[in-house]
Amino acid sequence: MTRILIVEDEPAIALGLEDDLKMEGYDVEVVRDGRMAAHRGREGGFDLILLDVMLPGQDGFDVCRELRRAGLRTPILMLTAKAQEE
Amino acid sequence: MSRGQFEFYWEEASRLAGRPEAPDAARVALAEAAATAAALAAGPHDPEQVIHAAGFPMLLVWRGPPDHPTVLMATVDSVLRQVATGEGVDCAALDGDGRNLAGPRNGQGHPALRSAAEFHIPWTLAVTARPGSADAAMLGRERFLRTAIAAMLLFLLSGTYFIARAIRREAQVSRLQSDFVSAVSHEFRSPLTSMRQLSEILAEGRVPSDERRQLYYETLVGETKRLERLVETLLHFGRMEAGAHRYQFRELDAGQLAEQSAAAFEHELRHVRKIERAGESRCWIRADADALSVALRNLLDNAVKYSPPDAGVRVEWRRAGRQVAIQVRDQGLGIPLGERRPIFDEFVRGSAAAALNVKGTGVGLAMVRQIVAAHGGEIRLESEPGKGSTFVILLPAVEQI
Repeated sequence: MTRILIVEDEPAIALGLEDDLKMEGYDVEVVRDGRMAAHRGREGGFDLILLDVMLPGQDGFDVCRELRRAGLRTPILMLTAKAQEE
Repeated sequence: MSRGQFEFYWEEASRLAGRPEAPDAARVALAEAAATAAALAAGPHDPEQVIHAAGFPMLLVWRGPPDHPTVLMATVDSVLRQVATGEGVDCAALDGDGRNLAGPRNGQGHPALRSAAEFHIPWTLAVTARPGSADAAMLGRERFLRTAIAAMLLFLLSGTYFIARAIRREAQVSRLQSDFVSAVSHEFRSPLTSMRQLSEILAEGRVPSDERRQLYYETLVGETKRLERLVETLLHFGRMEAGAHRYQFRELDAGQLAEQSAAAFEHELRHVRKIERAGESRCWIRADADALSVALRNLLDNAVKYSPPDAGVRVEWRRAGRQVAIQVRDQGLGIPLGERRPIFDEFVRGSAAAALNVKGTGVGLAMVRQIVAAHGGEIRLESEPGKGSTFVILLPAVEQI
């Protein structure tokens, strides 16, 4: 089964995403912050990572950089509600 | 000089002019006259002095007060001409080759030369400012000019400084406002995104379980409240900024209000964090309960947002002399010294907000400041970076009968 890691600190958003993907038949795991994301992401086994940009502490970009530096090749989709460009 | 005097000299000069030729002796006399004139100019003399050179058609007239003489010269065809004026003037007669015939001529400064041709006389009159006898009036004027120039430069520099400061401020304000718009739109989007997603799943009947369905409803209620609170906060803030907020003051117990605010906030957090409470009884104040609750909620919200999930947040109240203190203490990040004043300004957020992606709009503490000011109170901030912050609201105490 395709495994997806969701990194989202807003429980309300994570809830919908999780169930939506589960109903589509994916195996989904949710983590709340960047530290956990880096940890779970590296342990591998995921086919896709959905990564929120605005995370408390370490943000999505930091997590992405860390995972790539660790040699992880898993596709990462960045999600954000941010209106402006950095 | 009286008219009679002048006419006498004038006649004398005309008579002398009528002579066929001027002997060498007359030349010497002229030089002597010029020297005398110069000496008179230098030393104390009568208010009016007239020198006339025998054998030559000219008159030199000194007049005016000793420290500020006017040197006038008359020839046959030009009546009275002003040659020089001012104090400390040296007057010398030079011959056609520039040799000094009589009178002091100092080497410094450029003399104002009245040439022979100009006056139809056989010599040149050199008028120079005497060194040493520094022209007090000139000096005064110079000093005045220097002061004026210095003042103008200062004015210009301060003008430049103020313009630069205004531009910098303007840029800062526009940056703050765009940060605010960005933060607010993010604050709106998060609940809207989840509300849309959850309601869509509900509408399509794709909810995995009844348990999940219940969670959806609770989440929808929570997110709706969050959105409502955001709108309320922004409207409230806007009203306060416009000075249009109507406060309704009544006497109440600060402790009770603090208890209620803490409880309401715990509920808002779905009890994932506990707010410790402690205080004295009978802390009576005159306050707008709704407004003060908003202020406390904002302080509690900050305390929770800027501290680790397991760190304690405490609300305390007590009598402090003629005031009642309500304080919110956290064991969070703390606030650097330089930010302790600006964070109370609208749209300003501490450096930790950006560094750690802490959610918020930058109006919370500005509201607290406004609300406390409307109550005739003051807000104090004690903080130690790394250890935590304490915000103290001090309000006038009321004696309850």
